[in-house]
This record gives sequence, structure tokens and C-alpha cells, in this order.
Amino acid sequence: MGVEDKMTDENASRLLRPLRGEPDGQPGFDVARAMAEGRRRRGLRRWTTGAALLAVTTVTAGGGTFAVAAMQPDPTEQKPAPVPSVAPSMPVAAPVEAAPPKSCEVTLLPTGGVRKSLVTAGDPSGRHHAGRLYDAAENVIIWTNGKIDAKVRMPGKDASIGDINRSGIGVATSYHGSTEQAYVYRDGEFTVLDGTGTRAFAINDAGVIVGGIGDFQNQAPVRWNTAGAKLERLPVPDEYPFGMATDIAEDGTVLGAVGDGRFTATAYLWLPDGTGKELPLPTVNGRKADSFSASSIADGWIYGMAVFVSSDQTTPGANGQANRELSPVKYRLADGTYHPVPAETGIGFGHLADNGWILALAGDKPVIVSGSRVTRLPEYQRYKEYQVTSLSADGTKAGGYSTDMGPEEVDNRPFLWTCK
Amino acid sequence: MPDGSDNDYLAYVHGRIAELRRTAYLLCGDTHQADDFVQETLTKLYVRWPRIGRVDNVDAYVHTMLVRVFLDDRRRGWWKVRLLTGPAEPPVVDGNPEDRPAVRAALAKLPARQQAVLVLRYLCDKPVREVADLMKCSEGTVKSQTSHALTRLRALLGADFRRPVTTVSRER
Repeated sequence: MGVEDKMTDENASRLLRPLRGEPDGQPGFDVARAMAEGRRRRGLRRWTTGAALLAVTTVTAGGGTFAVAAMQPDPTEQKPAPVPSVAPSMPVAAPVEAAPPKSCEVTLLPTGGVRKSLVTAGDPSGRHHAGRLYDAAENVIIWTNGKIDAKVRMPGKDASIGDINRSGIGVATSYHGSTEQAYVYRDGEFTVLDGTGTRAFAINDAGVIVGGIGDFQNQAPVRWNTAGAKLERLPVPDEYPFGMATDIAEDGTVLGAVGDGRFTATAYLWLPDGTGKELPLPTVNGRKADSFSASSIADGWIYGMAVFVSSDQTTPGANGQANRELSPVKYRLADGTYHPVPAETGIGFGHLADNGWILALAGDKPVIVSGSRVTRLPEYQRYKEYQVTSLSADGTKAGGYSTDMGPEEVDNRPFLWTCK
Repeated sequence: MPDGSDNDYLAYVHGRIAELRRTAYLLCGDTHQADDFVQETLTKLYVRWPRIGRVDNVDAYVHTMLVRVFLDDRRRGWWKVRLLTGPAEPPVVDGNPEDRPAVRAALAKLPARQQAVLVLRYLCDKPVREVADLMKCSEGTVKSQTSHALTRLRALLGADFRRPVTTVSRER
């Protein structure tokens, strides 16, 4: 270091000395919340592959952390490990399944020069998609027919459109400090939905919006009948006082989850009139599940995971671990029956189309499941790891993004798959 | 090397949290905002934790994340203020550079990257090479940003800046 540099450094240190100091008071951050939010963002839990009959999942059960994990709002992106075939809970007529896609292609969605971007939502027509932009003036992007329709700045941090309908109206959530706020997006504008501490997860074509209110461990399912309507709390059963509403069908049936705030969260339905209904628990290979974690509702069917919690580890032990096993199943609303989903390739949580196709992940690979057929979607160039976030009602348009590790951070690129 | 598990994450965070919080505090000068930055950094870190095994220097990686969170916040803050009320002007700096609020206000007038360079070099006492690594730029850029930042900071603080320090500032 030269003499001049040394003088500069000494002067600079003196100049800035008044700013030296230590933060005072109790830390205001919360590691459990960081992990819960991190899980929500990466859309997965720490699934580990079991060599035994069923895959075994290890989830940290550090009190509230596990409760939060069990109540995650968007289980659609969670990635389970391989699981074997599943038997239906009772003999039923095989549902009519659409033929698998004949061919699929993948395209990188345009971002106007922004490198890091996600697809976070798609509408039932497959025309509209919404996503996130990073390191750019705008943080939200809307695509229509695969072209940029709008790039906008949504208020708050971690802003993301979670669902969008055929009219291009989206619902979104962002953080203001540590408080979340739900918004509706329309024609380039974001408008606050009624209520504070709210999250909006889904909107149907009639414009009915569902979500949750309250912090992670004390949340309640809510509905807004229109974007301008007052928030309406959906009823929950006495034994499961917490919950959230995560998806809504075109007929107004709301899918969500309820729990006791500790370890149990299971699928719950609210009929269009607001009355609630707990779904029965699936039975897989003769074993009754501890809960049913549903991710998608479409055309009278619900897709999700039968969850089995190891009986000897349902409470946090010395290691704070609980083991969970998962099996994918479909539930038919009309007759209340569960149906197996082929699981040889480790199908995870996914999105259901009206024709019965399921967009899901098999490991890190995007697939469409149709009946017993699993069709791998094409990968884009060197990208090997993906998340999938939307599927059109006819199953032909799927949205997602890459999660490969880049040189410095995760290399997220937004993709649209088109199948015939 | 971390293996990407939750327990590993918790252990890592436990060991590094104090330093991370201190760096965040020095960057922004506000305890609550520092905690927000730490919260966001911990969240980003958790998102990437399963693949952390591919990262050579995790400490540098995490501090880079923290600096980016700080820079992102400054960028967003500027955008919001401009949209609503025109360019943001920090409080007027008057007189004594010994005064913590005055120096902080002057620092806040600098471009965010220059703020970060000064804080990392002279408050966190990191060498140029390390700052370049954290900021993902060359050592030459760190030096030139330092020079620009100091020139601007002195101008903002007025002629008094050369006066030798004779009193110890009150630190919290």
C-alpha cells in the first residue's frame, strides 16, 4: 500500500468513525420464519429418498417451524422422493383419462433483457402468465400468448402474482415489513384487497379470490367475493382452528387446509355457500393416511398427497425430526373416492387440468401424468432442474422455471411448455 | 463443508448471525432495518441451502447476499420515493462530521454501491480484495468507488472534515 493510500484510509476511517457501533436490543429477525418463507419460495421441503417401500421424508420439527411447514400455503411445488404405486382406498370404476400428450416443446419466455425471472402463475386458457423479475426496475411481468404484455412494479417486497384468471386479472401478495398484504392486479395496476396481514392465493374466472389472513402460526382462510369486496373469513372446524384457502374451482368450490397449529394440517373444502367440509383420509396399501395435503382442484377432482407421519416421531424429539411418507392420490368429489396416481417415477405435488392431466415434478424434472402414462417435458438447453407452477385447463400450456445453480446464485429462467 | 440439511443451516446461522447482524447494522445504521436485511438474507440463504455444497466460500456468499439485499432495498426505496414525491433528499447535513446523524445522512446521499464500499472497507475493516469479492467487481473498481465516495462525502460534510478528531463520539 502506498503512502497516499494509507493516508486516504486513515482519513476515511476517521471520517466514518462516528458510524461505528453495534446494533442494540434483541434481534428482530426470526430464523424459523426465514425457513418457513424460504420453503415457500423454493416450493419444496427437504425430501430425502428412502430405500424402503415408501419414501421417507425428514422435516425439521423445531416447534413452530414444523407447524409452519405443515401449513404451507402452496404445496403445489413440493418435491417428494420416489414412491411406489398406490392402491385406491376402495374399488371404483376407473376414471376416463385423456390420452397422453403427443408432443411437447419448451420455450424461454422473453423478459426484455432481465436475466433472472420466474413464472409464478398461469390462467385456465393458457394465454396469460405472470412472473417475477429480479434485479430490474420492475418486479412483476405479465405475458400474453408468450409475449411480454406488461412489466410493472408491485408495492412491497417479495412481490409475486400467485394466480391469474382468463380475464388477465391476477392476485398477488407482498411483504410490507413483516406484514403481508394481498393485492389484485388488473390492467397494469395493483389494488389492495380488504384486510391487513392477508395473502391471496387463487382467483377463478368469476373473480372470486381466496387466501389467508394472520401470521404463519395463527392464520385463517378467507374469501373475497369480488376484488372490491370485504374480506370474509371461511369457517373452520373446532378441532382445527387454523387454515388457509389455496385454490378455487370455477364453480366456486374452495380448496384449502385446516390444522391445529401444531402438526396436523389436512385438506378441507368450502362449498360455494361457504360451508366447510373435511375430506376423508385416503387409505394407501391398506394404511390409512394421517392427513391429505391437496394442491389442486379442477373439474370435480382434487390432486394431492396422502401423508403418513411415523407414529413414534410425531412429536419433536431430541433431534427435532419427524418422518413423513407421501403417496400421490386423486380424489373425486362426486362420489368421495380416492384414486391412485402412478408413482413409480416419484410424482410430486402438482396442478390438475380439466382433462385429468397432472403437471408435476418427478425429482427435478417436469412431467405430465395422464392415467398411467408419465410424459417427460423437454428440458431447455443446459437446464436440468425445474419447478412447475401452472397448467391450463386443457393441459396444453404449462408454466415453470429453472432452479439450476448458477455461478453465484440460482439461475432462474422462465419457461412455457406447449403440448399437443 | 455444509451438507444442505436443516440442522446444518441452523448450525451455520447460529455461528454467523452476530457478525451478519453487525454488518447489516453498519450498512444501514438502523437496528430495525438491519434486522429486516438479516431476515431477508436468512430467507434467501435457506432457499439456496440445499445446493450450498457447491459454494466454495459460504461466508463470502452470505455476505454478498446481505450486500445485495441492502443494495436492492436502496434501489427500491429510491424508486418508490421518486414515483411518489420526486427525488429523495436526506436531511440537510450541517456542520460537525463528528455527529453520527450528519455522517449517516451524508453517506445516505451517495450511490448505494459507494455506501456499501465505504462501510465494508472502513467500518467492517475488510481489505480491498475481500470487498471486491463481496461486491462482485474488480479491486480497481473498489478503489475508484472508494475515491469517488470519499470525495463526495467530504464535499457533503464541508471543510471541517480535515479537522483532527479530538473527541470520541458517543456510540450505542
